[in-house]
Formats: sequence, C-alpha cells, structure tokens
Amino acid sequence: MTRGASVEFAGVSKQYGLVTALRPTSLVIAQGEFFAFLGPSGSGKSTLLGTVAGFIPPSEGRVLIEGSDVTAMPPHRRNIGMVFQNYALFPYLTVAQNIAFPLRMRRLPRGEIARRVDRALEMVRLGDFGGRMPAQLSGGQQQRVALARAAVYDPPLLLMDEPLGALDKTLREEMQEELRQFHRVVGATILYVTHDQQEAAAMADRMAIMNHGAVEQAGPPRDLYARPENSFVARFLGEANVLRVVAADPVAAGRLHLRTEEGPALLACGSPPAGIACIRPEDIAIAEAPIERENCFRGRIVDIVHVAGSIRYSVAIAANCTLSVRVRSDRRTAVLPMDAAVHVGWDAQDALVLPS
Amino acid sequence: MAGIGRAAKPWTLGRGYLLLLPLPCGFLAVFFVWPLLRVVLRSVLDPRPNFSNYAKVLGAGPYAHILLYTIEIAALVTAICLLLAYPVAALTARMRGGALQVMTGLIVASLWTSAVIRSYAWLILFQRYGVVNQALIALGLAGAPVRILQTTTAVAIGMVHVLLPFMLLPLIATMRRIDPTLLRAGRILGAAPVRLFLRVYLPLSLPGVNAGVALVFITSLGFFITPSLLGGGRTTMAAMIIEEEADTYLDWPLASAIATILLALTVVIYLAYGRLARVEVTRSLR
Ligand SMILES: Nc1ncnc2c1ncn2[C@@H]1O[C@H](COP(=O)(O)OP(=O)(O)OP(=O)(O)O)[C@@H](O)[C@H]1O
Ligand SMILES: [Mg+2]
Repeated sequence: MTRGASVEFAGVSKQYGLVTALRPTSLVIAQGEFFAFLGPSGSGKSTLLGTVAGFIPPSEGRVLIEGSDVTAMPPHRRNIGMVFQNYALFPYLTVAQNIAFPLRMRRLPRGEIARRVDRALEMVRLGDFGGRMPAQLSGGQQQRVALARAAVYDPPLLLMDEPLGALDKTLREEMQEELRQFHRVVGATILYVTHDQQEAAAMADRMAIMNHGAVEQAGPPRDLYARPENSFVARFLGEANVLRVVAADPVAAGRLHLRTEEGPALLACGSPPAGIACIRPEDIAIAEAPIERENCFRGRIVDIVHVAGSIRYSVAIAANCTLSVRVRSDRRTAVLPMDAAVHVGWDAQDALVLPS
Repeated sequence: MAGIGRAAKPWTLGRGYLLLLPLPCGFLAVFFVWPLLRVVLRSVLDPRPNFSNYAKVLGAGPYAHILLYTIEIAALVTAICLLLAYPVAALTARMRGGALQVMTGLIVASLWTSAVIRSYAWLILFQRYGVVNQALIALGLAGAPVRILQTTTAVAIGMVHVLLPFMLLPLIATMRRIDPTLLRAGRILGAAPVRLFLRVYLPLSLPGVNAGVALVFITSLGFFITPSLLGGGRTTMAAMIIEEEADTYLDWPLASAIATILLALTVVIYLAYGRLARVEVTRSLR
C-alpha cells in the first residue's frame, strides 16, 4: 500500500487576461484523504486540479506536495496519477500497452513491466482484455483501464477530473463503489472533481464547494450540509427554502424573531447578522390540522412531485412565498390532494440563520 | 404553426439522386477509362501484338534509368516536403482564430498561382546571372556563376515549392484533430518532451503523414511542367520522356509502354507503402 501524499494550495490563483479562472485559494489536503471538489460549471475545479498536475502554471501562489514546492516542476516529474473525463487512452496502443506506458517512461525492466501490467489488469478485473484496442472496449471498461494506467506506478497522489462523467447512472454508481474500494486498498491521496453532489457526498472524506473561482466552504459532506456558511452552499447542497431577512430582533438567548421580505415572520435559532434564513424541505412538517411547532403557517398545496421514497409538496403560504416540503413516503402514505388547505411547521432550531 | 406533426426527415441519398449517377460515370468512362485502356492496349498491340515495346523500355537505352531516376526524385521531393511541412503544420495546428485563418489562407493562396508561373519564376532566379548566382558570388560562396538550372537541385526545389501545400494541408487537418488531453495524459504519465513527441504526438499525426506522403509522392511521379522547365535538356523525368517519344519521335506505342509502366509502378509503390504504413503504426510504435 502506498502512503498518500499531502497537498497544499498556498494562495493559488489563475488569471487568463481579464478572466479570473481561480481566485487566491488556500487549502490543505491530508495524506491519504479522498477529497472532492464540487461546484457548477466554470467554477474553477479543473483549473485548480491543473495547477496540481502542472498543466496550468498558477498566476500567483504555490502548490506543495508532501511539503515541497512543485509550482515550477514539469508534469512528467511530479509522479502523479491522473484519470481524465474522456479517459484519454492512447488509441494506437493496446490496453496492456496503455497500462505499460507510464512504466516504460520510468524505464522499468521488461519483466517488471509485464508483472505490474498483469497485476493492474487483475485489479480492475480486465485480465483477458490486455490485447484489445481501447476502441473495442465499453465506456466502463475504458474507465477501468484509465484507472489501472493511473495507478500502475503507485503514485502517492491521484487526480480525477470527472472520471465518471461520461457513464450512465447505473454504471456510475457501480464505479463509485469500485473507486471507494480502490481508495481503501491503494491508500493514495485522491483529488476528485465532480459536479454531482451525491457522488461527492458518497465518496469523499472532505469536500470543497467551489463557485466563481473560489472555495466557498470545505469540510466533511455532512457538516457542509448541516452547517452551510452561506446561502450558496446551503442552496447548492440539497434543497433549501431561502427567506430574506429584513429585520432580526433577539427575543431570548440565541433566539431571533425574524421578519422576512417574503412576508412570514418566524422564530429561529442563531445570532446576528441575519441576512437569510434557510429551512430544508425535509425539516418541515405538513398536515391538514395545525401543527405543534414553534413556526406554523397556513397554506395551500400548489404542486406535488413524487420522487423515489418521498413526496415533494409546494405550499404557498403567502402571496410570493412558496415553500418546498418533503415527506418520506411508502405505499401506505396518504397523499394530500392538490389545492388542499394545509398547515406547515418547523421548530426554531430547524431554520439556519446565515449572514447572506 | 408550421412543422407541427411533421417531424423533419433526416436528409438521405434518395432514389432520385441515383438517376444522376450515369452522368459522371459516363464521363469518366469516356474521358478517362477508355483512353487509359487505349494506351495500355496500344503498348502491346502496336506495331505488332507482342511485348517488344516493353523490351525496349526495360532493355538498353535511357528509359529504365529515367524511370528509376523519377522514383528517386519523387522520393527526395516527398522527404523534403515532409521535413519542411511537419514543424510548420504542427505550429499551425496549434493556432486559433485569426492566426490560423491567415496561415491556412496563405497556404491555399499559393495554390492559386499555376505551377507554370511558379516554375518560370525559379527559371529566372536560377539563371546563369540570376539572383541566386549573384547572391552566391556576393557572399563569396562561389567564384563564378554555378550551374543550377538543369540539375536535380533545381528540379527538386521547384517541385517542393509546388507540392508543399499538398503535404501541409493533410498534416494540419490531422494535427488539429489531435486531442490535447492525450498530450496531457502523456505528460502526467511521465513522458518528457522528446519522448512525448515520439510516443504520443508522432503516432497520432501518422495518418496525416501517410496521406501527405502518398499525395506528394504520386503527384511527383507524373510531374511534367516543373522538371521540363527547370531540368530540361539534362535532367529528365518519366513524364518528359513520354512527351518526347510521343511528340518528337511520334513513337506512340513506346510512349504508351512507358506510361503503362509508370502507372503500374505508381500503383505498386502506393500499395506497398499503404501496407508498410499500417504495419508501422500497429507494430513499431507500440
Ligand atoms: N485557457 C483559458 N482561457 C480563458 N479562460 C479560461 C481558460 N481555461 C479556463 N478558463 C475559464 O476559467 C473558468 C474556470 O474554468 P474551469 O475549467 O476550471 O471550470 P470547471 O469548474 O472545471 O468547469 P466544468 O465543470 O465545466 O469543467 C471558466 O470560466 C473558464 O471559462
Ligand atoms: Mg472541468
């Protein structure tokens, strides 16, 4: 098992003329960590990964691997493994030759290369496919060859830029499981780029949410979901009902009475400054009768969507305030009818108060 | 509400178009296949049905030598074109936007001037007291005017000049389609610049190399204008001797035999090269 390498971004930024691809970013990733970068398209994820690989020289700042500055080191000397979204297998080489490529570049003896290639093929369960050309493989198989090629020289650091992006949903979930297993077995540090939040949450030890070329927040997936630091993170992870606060009055220790732009006044736990209040759809209860919660509103169901395992109601509680409410459902759950007059409610502690 | 309920049908080569097929086929049959056949037939039937014309070409006399020399010059021109065009194409393929347009524009524009005019231009430059000789003397590289015209050098320079675009264009087309992530993959997997070129870029550009080489080599074999203007009198290529036999000596059967042999050689070399190139790609570059 390889020992994973630590990675540190020290004020790394990237400008393309007037375009800022990456704002100054500082981040430390521990040895052996599975770290995901999550964010919308154009948020700078690939740019950040490119600075680690050495393809993109940062405009400012330094990149450190295992504590040593690699900012000026060319990619071929960094000893990093990388898996690309379109796999980037060499089309003129067989599967075995593709996997042997990095070993040949390292001038390993023939016998050693053959042994390692066989072992790598076994690892990704493609033992019989060594002689095939990449074009003769399915997407999932090509993906596994790319993984084998990136890992065959035991790099302490692996970069993956949307490695599962081109696969269909079922295959993607299967490969997620394989990648997690792979990480446990191999022990390398993995930097993983995706814009699929479920994928990031399922696989990563920690993740960073990126937006407009900057890291908005970093931490374990659960923490980010439970304690987002701003409205972007709150909205980006899962769903959130966001209300704009126009006035916040402390009513008791750690409790605020909020008046909102949308109309409803509510009780929430938190402290000023209060810019917005977020309530997760699954934290809101819904019933025809009034609900015994600190916040309770009357409303009308304006939309119903059935998703696997749950029902999502849209409930209008004021002229321009519609809340999204999610309840778990099974075969016996009674579905409330469209246009029904209902009550929705939640406790003060269910609302997150964020500065903006 | 136009178009509702009527899904746009994808364009296909309908039956109707098949009716147009006889036209080009007929044209090719009358103006290409039939004359070609007549040339071949004449080479064996005239003056008597035997292979005497071929015996003459392949026996003593200048003909076999000229055919060999033609192949040599074609190979030389192809090699020079490839060496000159490869780096230029690689740079051009990396250009974007305006620079790329200017570059391809320049290459295509060079095709607008006919080979005759361009060869005449060289004729003037290469004269005994032409610009080139004056420059050589001024630079002290030559004491007296050197003979440039009528040499292989003059013919090769003239032909490279005319044929370079035919090497450049397929190279650029192929190189532009090279996926940059494959180069990144090569680098991160440990390939230093030289090996990255040899192990990744070169094999990916080979289809373009093959197309360009085939195009330039085959065109060179039948080149007439440029070699006759720049080499005429001393340096003779196959097309020139064919013209001479037919035009000056009115020996059409012999001219037909040489033409047939040139055609056969071209086809054989083309097929052999095609096979060689395929083997190269699949074997030695692994
Ligand atoms: N070579 C370049 N020249 C100019 N702008 C660039 C260049 N490369 C990237 N950018 C810009 O930098 C920003 C960040 O790009 P980046 O590729 O890092 O995004 P990303 O998060 O990986 O997005 P995606 O999910 O679509 O891959 C984008 O706005 C992009 O347009
Ligand atoms: Mg990207």
